[in-house]
Order: sequence, then structure tokens, then C-alpha cells
Amino acid sequence: MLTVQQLSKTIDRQQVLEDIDFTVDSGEIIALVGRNGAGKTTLLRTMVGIIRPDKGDVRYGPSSIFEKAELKRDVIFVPDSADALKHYTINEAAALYESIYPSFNRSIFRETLTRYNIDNKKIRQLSKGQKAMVTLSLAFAVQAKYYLLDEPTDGLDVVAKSDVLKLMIAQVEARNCSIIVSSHQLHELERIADRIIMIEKGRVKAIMSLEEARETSVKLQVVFNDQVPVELLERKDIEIINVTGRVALFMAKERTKELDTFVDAHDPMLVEEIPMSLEDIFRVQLGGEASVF
Amino acid sequence: MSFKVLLKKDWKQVSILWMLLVFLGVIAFTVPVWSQMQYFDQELRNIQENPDEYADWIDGDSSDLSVQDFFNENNGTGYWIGDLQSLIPMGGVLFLFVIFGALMASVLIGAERNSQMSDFTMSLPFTRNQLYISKWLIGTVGIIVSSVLGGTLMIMMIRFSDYAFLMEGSTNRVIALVVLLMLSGISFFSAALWMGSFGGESISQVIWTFIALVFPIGLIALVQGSVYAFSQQYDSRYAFFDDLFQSTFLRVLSPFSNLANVDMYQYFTNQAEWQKFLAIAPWSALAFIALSFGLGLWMFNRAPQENNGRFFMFSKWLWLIHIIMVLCFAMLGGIVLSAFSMQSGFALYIVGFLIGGFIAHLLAKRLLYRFNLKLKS
Amino acid sequence: MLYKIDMKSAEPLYEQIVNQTKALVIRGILRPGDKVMSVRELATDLVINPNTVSKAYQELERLGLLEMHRGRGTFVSEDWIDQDSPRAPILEAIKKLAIDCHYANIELTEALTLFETEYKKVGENHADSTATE
Repeated sequence: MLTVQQLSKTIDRQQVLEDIDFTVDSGEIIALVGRNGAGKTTLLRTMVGIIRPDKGDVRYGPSSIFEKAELKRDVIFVPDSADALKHYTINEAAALYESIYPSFNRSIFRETLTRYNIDNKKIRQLSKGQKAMVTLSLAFAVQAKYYLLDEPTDGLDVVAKSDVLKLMIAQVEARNCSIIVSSHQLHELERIADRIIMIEKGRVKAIMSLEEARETSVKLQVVFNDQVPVELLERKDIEIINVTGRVALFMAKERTKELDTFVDAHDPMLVEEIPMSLEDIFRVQLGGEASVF
Repeated sequence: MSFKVLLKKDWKQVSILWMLLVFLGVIAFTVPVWSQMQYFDQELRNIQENPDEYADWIDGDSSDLSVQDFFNENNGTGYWIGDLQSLIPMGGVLFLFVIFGALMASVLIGAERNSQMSDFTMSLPFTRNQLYISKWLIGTVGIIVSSVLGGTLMIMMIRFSDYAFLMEGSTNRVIALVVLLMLSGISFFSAALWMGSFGGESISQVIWTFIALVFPIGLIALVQGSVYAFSQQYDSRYAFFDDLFQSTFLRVLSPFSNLANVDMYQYFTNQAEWQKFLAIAPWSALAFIALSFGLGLWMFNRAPQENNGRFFMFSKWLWLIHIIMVLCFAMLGGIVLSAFSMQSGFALYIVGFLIGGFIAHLLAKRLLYRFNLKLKS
Repeated sequence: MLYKIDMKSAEPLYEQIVNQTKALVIRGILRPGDKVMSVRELATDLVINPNTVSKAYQELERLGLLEMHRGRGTFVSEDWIDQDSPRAPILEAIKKLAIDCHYANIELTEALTLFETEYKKVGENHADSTATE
């Protein structure tokens, strides 16, 4: 089991991570979401021991990854670009992995290559989709217990995206490994994640499954008999998606009786609850003032 | 064993440079010797063929003289063609070692820091100690192989030539010199690698290497120059610094100083100089190697990886670098300006000091705080 | 392929799989004794979390609709009874149907006749499939 305890890190006088706390069991797929600059990549780099925290710890089983380098045999971090091994040919990279990781399975790796028709070239000569497949295949051929993936489908075409996701799913099912994925592709994540960790400005805003998030927040479509009441539009605790004529579509971070009473008080003709997608949840939890990162 | 993996990986990165180093090392040790011996041959032939032209210099009849006589300064003929010291190509070898020491170190650490390879190696199941030691070993072994091969070939070359007599009784000293060259080469590489432990990418590393090799001597020169600018005379304080240049303390801190303090004119001939050499030179070099390796290892371990890409990765200590930089350039400015006039030397020094300091301050702000690669947050 | 996942629906994914499997069996598209996709196959096919599929299959097993045979795979049971089927989604569908019929100007009697025909058709398929071995 992977445990992140009270992880804190300041970089350049900015608190990039603050008291991050969560656990990951085997066989789980965890989505890590947050706005750009929220600290997701720093968190992943810290979890694999590249960055040392100011406070807190990352433990795999009973031991800290900052004390036992051998733990890294079972933890693989795949960054968002295949920059590190760009000068290696695919075979050279496989040979490297084989000599570093005792659990590396060459034939599994070969199988993926043939399936996706990738020849032995220098990695930097591959297309973006092929690079992604190769780096992920190398990682998964290690048969590690924990995978930390930074934007694995970023910039990939539809077919490649699907291939990557299927590869991840098959791995988890076959070997019960855990995968922590940082991504902006919320529509992908909502399908495959067991739980979602939402990071805002270095802090964990929420950890929950999609179902739990849907129980916490609410998205309503209300048709009013008269106009859409100004008091509704002025409320700070909701996010207005759309107002057309007498119809208002909005989300509230928290379901409250007060909100229900409020809506009822304004004489609605129809109140319909609309199921929230992960993107909705993202917006309502992590949106806020228009701030582009 | 697992460590072999690191060696293989680092080898892949640096193999071409390494082999080039060995190859060029052999060249640097042998080709100049060969061409020097050609020159000797030429001179001897000239003397033989045109004895009249050389009559002014030579006492007695040139046909009575042996080859050896032309190479002995003391009881010789009055015409001196050369000696063992002129045969040994120290400059070329040192130049090669400085360049390749810096290049190998840059490829082993700097190039990794420039790409995500640095992150990758730190996510591998190896300690940072292992990572650093592997790199250090590869470069060091390269220099050793280059020196041993080149040095051996050089000695054999001289031994089997007509000028073997030059080495008679001095074989030990020649070997010792080769060893010193080797240790100096390792020093250069070790220093350059140390610079990579906190220089966040390859250009920074190269700049720091230059600074590291020049700084000890440079700093003393600046202080001495400033002292002179105040007093305008060569007094006891000035002499203090002269002594400092020759001190063992400096020889440990600066490989160049260590080399410069070997009196090559006296080395082969004077017994006292040879003893002094044995007592100080190789040990100073070893001390520097130990120092730079130890510090490099420690700093590689401690350097905060999130600062990868910056000129100086220990951002908490940037203020110190800033101050030192300003002071050094200020002193330089003062010295340069005060050299223009003897009377108003002092005043000019102050002016130059302020100008130099100001320029350095601007440079520091640019270099230290903004020079960095942006890797993803 | 056989399944249609609707991320926009209020119904949790695993419930959608359970209900769609039920429908497939009732419609006779999946017959008793048929081998169904493994958890991994279905998860990769739909590109969803394998735990979701696993949960759905476990529920279907509990309901008696699926049987897992170690080493051979998962199969549709030979005989099963739908124990607890929630009525709420059915009622929702009926509500929607009522609105649609009004819009299409379909009279109540015509609607009832149409429904009766379909109901009986499915009933036949169901009877057929449970009759075969």
C-alpha cells in the first residue's frame, strides 16, 4: 500500500505542496486532477523520490522511498514526454530497463511492439503516439506495483489515446498494480478512475469517487414561472452554467436543504437534477475566479 | 551486480569522448616528442654539415664532440640544442586533460540535467551516491588509461631513440612527472564533475568549472593587486601574497598552482627540487582529488532536484555567490583603473571598485536569478 | 459492442452494465450457457475501470444471472430468476414514453396495443431461451 503522509514542499518561496495526505491500495486507478500549476507533477516527482519534501513522507508498504532506494524497483514514474531516453533506440532502452529492473519481462515488451507495429528506431524518431506507447510499454513490462503517470494521453490522437487507456486497464486487471494518473482528460478519467484526488494550490481539495462526488454536489436545471430570480444569480455558493429565458442551469458545490428551500421559494415550474460529469465536478470544486494559469 | 548497470549507462553516454581522450592522449604524449626529436636530428645534421656557421658558439672542434655534449648545459660545448625537459610535452597533455575533463563531466552530468534524463536516473533504484561514483569512476579511469598508455609509449619512444641518454638516471623523475600529469588530469575532471553537482545544466557547469580552476589563484591575485594599489609599493604585505602563491595550501586548492610550483628547470637536475616535488606535488594533487570528489558527492546528494536547470541549484545560498561575485569584479575594476596612474592610484581604485561592483551586481541579477531552464512544475 | 455506456446518466456505471446484461439475456441476445467477455475484455472494450466491471459481474453472479467457472470463464446461467429489479427506472421510462406519445399524437389505446405486442414478443424469446439447454 502506498501512503502519502503530510507531504509539504516549498519551492522559490511558494508552497507547492501542503499537507498532502492519501493512500492508494493495490488494483486502484487514482486520478490526480487540478488546474495547471496546482502541483500535480511536483507531487508525482516527489512520490518517486526525485524531489525531497520539506515535511512529510511517502511510504511504500512500511518503508520510506527516501530511505530505501530499492523500493524504486517497484515504482515507475512516466513523465509526460519521452525526453530522457530520446537518444536510445528501442532495443537499447529495453536492454537498459532489463538490466536495471529484475522483474522486467522482455517478451511482454516485444509483444506490445509487434501489436502496434513499431520498428526498432531511435526513440526521438518515433511519432508522438508511438513514443507514448513505447515509454508506457517499457514501464509496464517492468511489472511494477505502482505506476505514476503524468499526462499519458496528452497530445495523442484518438486511436493512440484509446490504446494507452486499454493498456492501463489490462495491466491493472491482470496484475493488480496501482496507477496514479495525472491528466486533464476528464472524460477519460471519469470512466477509468476508482477515486479522484483534486488538488488546488498544492492542497488536497477532495478525494472521492465519482459517485461520492455526485452525492456531495448537485447540478440543477430549473424552469421558473416568472423570471430567473436575481437572488439566485447573486448567490456566491453556486456556479451558473447557463441562463436562457426562464431556465437556469447551475451547479452547487454542496447540496443543502437551504438551497432546495431557496429554489422552491422562488416558484419553480420544473426542477430537474442533472447528473454531474467529472468536468462539472472539476469546475464546481476547482473553478472559481477566472484565473488562467 | 547492479552497479555495473550504472557504469554501462554512463559509458554509453560518454564512450566516444572517452575513446577520443585515450587516442588523443597517446598523440599528445608521443607526437610532440617525435617532432622534437626530429628537430634535434635536424640541428645535429646542420652542425655536422656546416661546422663553420656554428664555429662562433662551439669551443673546439665539432668533430670531437659527441651527441651528448650538445645536450648538456654545463660542461658542454657552449651550444645547447635541448634537454629532457624540452622533450616532455607537458603543456599539450594538460591542455587535453582540461578540455576533456570538462567535456566528459559535462556529458556525464550537465547533459543529463538538460534533459529529463536527470529526473529519470533519480527515479531509478540506486542511491545518489552510486550515481555519482559511477560517473566519477568512468572519467577517472579514462584519464588513467590515457596517461598510462601515452606515458608508457612516450618513455619507450625516448628509450629506443638516439636520445635515450637524456633519460639516464632520470627515469624515475619522468615517471613521476607522468603520474603528476595524470593526477592533474583527474583533478580537472573531478573538479568539473563537482561543478555539475550543483550547476543546474551544462553551460552553468562549464562556467563553474572555469571559475573553480581559476578562482583560488585569481582571488589571491586580486587581493594582492588591491593591496598594491593602496600602497603603490612592493612591501612586506605584497611579499606575503607571493609566498601564498607558492604555499602548499594553495597547491592543494588549485591544480594549476600545484603544477606551476614545480620548477621544471631544476626538476631533473636539482636533487633538492626533486625531493620537494616528491614531498608535496603528488599529495597536493591527491588532496585536491579527495576534496573535489567528497564535496561533489555530498553536493550531488543534497542538491534540490526541483532547482534543476538553474545556474546554482542551492538557491538558499545565492546571496553568498552574489556577494563574492560583486567583490571580485569590484577588485578587478579597481586594479584595472588604478593601473593607469601611479599618483592617483588609490582614488582610481575606488572608482574602478565601484564601477566593477555595479556591473557585477547587474550581471549577478541576470545570471543567478533568472538563468534557468523551465521544466514542468 | 453489446453495451452502451452513458456517462451522462445518473445511473452508476456498474448498474448500467448489470441492467444492460439483464436486458441482453431477456432479449435473447445472450443465451444461457453463452460465454460472456471476461472482466478484462469488457473493461478494455468499453475503456472503463476493471473494478467497475468486476463489481457488475459480482452483482450479476449474486442475482444468479452469471456463473463464474474457474479456468474456463464466465457464463450466462442456465436458469435464473430476477430477484430484485428496481422499478424506479422503469417508471421513469414510462413517464418519458407517455410524454413522447402525447407529442406523436398516439392515442392511449394504440399505445397500449403497441406495448402489448412488444411485451409478448420478448416473452416468447425469453421462454425460448430458457427452454433450450
